[in-house]
Amino acid sequence: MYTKTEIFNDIVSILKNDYAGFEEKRKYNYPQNYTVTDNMDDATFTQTIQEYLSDFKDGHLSFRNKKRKTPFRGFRVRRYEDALYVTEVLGEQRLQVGDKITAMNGDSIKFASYRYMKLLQDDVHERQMWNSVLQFADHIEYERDGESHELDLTQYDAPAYTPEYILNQLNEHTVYIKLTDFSHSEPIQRMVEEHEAILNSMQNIIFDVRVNYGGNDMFYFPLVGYTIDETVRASQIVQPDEAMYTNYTANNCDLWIETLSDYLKQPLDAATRIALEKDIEKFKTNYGVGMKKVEDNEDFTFEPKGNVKKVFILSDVTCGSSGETFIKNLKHSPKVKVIGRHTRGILDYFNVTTKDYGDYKFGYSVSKMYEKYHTNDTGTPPHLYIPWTPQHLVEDVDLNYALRLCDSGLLEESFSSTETIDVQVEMKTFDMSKSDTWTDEQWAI
Amino acid sequence: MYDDVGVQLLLLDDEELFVKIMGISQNEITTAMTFNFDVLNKLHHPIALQFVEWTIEGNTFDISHEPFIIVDANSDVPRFGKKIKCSLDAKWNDSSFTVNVLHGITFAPIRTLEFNIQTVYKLLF
Repeated sequence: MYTKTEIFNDIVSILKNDYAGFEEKRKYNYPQNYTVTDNMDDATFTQTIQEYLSDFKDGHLSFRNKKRKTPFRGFRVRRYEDALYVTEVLGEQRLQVGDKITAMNGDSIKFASYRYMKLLQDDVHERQMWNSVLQFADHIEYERDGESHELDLTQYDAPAYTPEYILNQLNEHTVYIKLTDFSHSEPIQRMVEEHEAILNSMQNIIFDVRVNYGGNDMFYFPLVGYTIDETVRASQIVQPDEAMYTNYTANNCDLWIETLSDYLKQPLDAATRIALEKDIEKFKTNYGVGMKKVEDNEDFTFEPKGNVKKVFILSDVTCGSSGETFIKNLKHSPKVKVIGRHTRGILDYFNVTTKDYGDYKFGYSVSKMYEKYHTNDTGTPPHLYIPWTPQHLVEDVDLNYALRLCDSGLLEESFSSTETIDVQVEMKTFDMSKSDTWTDEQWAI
Repeated sequence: MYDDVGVQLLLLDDEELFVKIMGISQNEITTAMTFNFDVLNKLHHPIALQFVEWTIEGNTFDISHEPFIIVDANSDVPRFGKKIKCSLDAKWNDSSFTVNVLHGITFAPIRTLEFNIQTVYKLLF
């Protein structure tokens, strides 16, 4: 049983030694700014640690109280301009999707955004994490059909997450595939096997990973063949200097071997099983050596499948981790176009392992990308950015846009040419060598 | 706090669009440089301007995730500013930026414009 101060001190030690970003993030690591005592209540303790971790600006760092349910207000929101719009109602029946929240606890949304700047994690309105801020709202003002209302909020049980691996044939030529995570190999494998005939006959595939909580990159490999026209090796997708590094400390090796061993407990295809076993072996070989460039002798080869002409991937800020690599890796294919908004941006540090402290658990990354390829500040950009607006609550703007592109040559035209316009600014200067006194005009400049 | 460079620069004036920089200023505290634009949409439908990236002092800033600027059909001249964070001595007159012009309702791409601003020095005697 760990005390609160022991947990805090251990997390500080991990962030100084084991965390993959321990060097670059040193400038953000100020544990002395936070006070933890054994007498503090659980909620304050959790919040303090979470605030300390948010300094690191790494969405893969997490701390959770396993016993305590995350406070939930029964609805979810998204910011557009200076208001929050209700996007989902999950218990709070007094609200409706589309209700426009203009104030919380008496503060305008703009003012509240300054108050909770750290928790919101982004300056761009549509990327801000308001759902985690709602727990601090007791009272809201909102508008519906032009009329203003007020509401005292209460607590609800947060709904349990149910993964979705959905395949729908939308028309004769187009199939829609929604994947909310890549945590399990078997459901994706099964989907591909059960619908192989459909997938092989389609001209268009629309992947919806706008909500994707990640998992393991290898679990989406069965889908890659449908997005390429010729044989592709994984090494061709990444840049020659796009290296990854792993911090092989003893602590990390123990935890990561345990994480991979858990993955091996689920039903896996032979290739994935072999790859995971090789990864475990790599951690055993490098046990305790510290930060080291990962020499990847393995090179996965992907063969094209089916007769797909166009692939669209719908993207949003709620797509993170392996969901992001899915977009980042597949967008290189000429027939793939990514539509929507930038992904979350948590790829710089990856291979997340969990340190268990009994009632609490702490998640952190043991590997990192070469800094030149860091994207945490912006996420992975789409080919075509569609801003989030309240219209998204009325219709699926992104999907409708992809469907229109399925039947048009618009996309090819749109990315074909850039008009370059050179503009010259004339700056006047004087040849001072020929004059020992300045004229009035010279002084004026 | 604000240092106004006092520059006006016509970037484009064709059958579809009029784009002009109406002023450049820099906030000395945040170092954000603000470019104020006038844009006239001569098309019969609204357009959305997506500023994609801005290169200044050799640094390229990805600003594609910022909200679109919507300009109504046959608009008067709407004025708006774009902020770029750069160093205080950044040379605005040696920069380039890319703008996607999209249909304002369907967001279908219309054209992509890359503006390169370069300085030409004229010697006075």
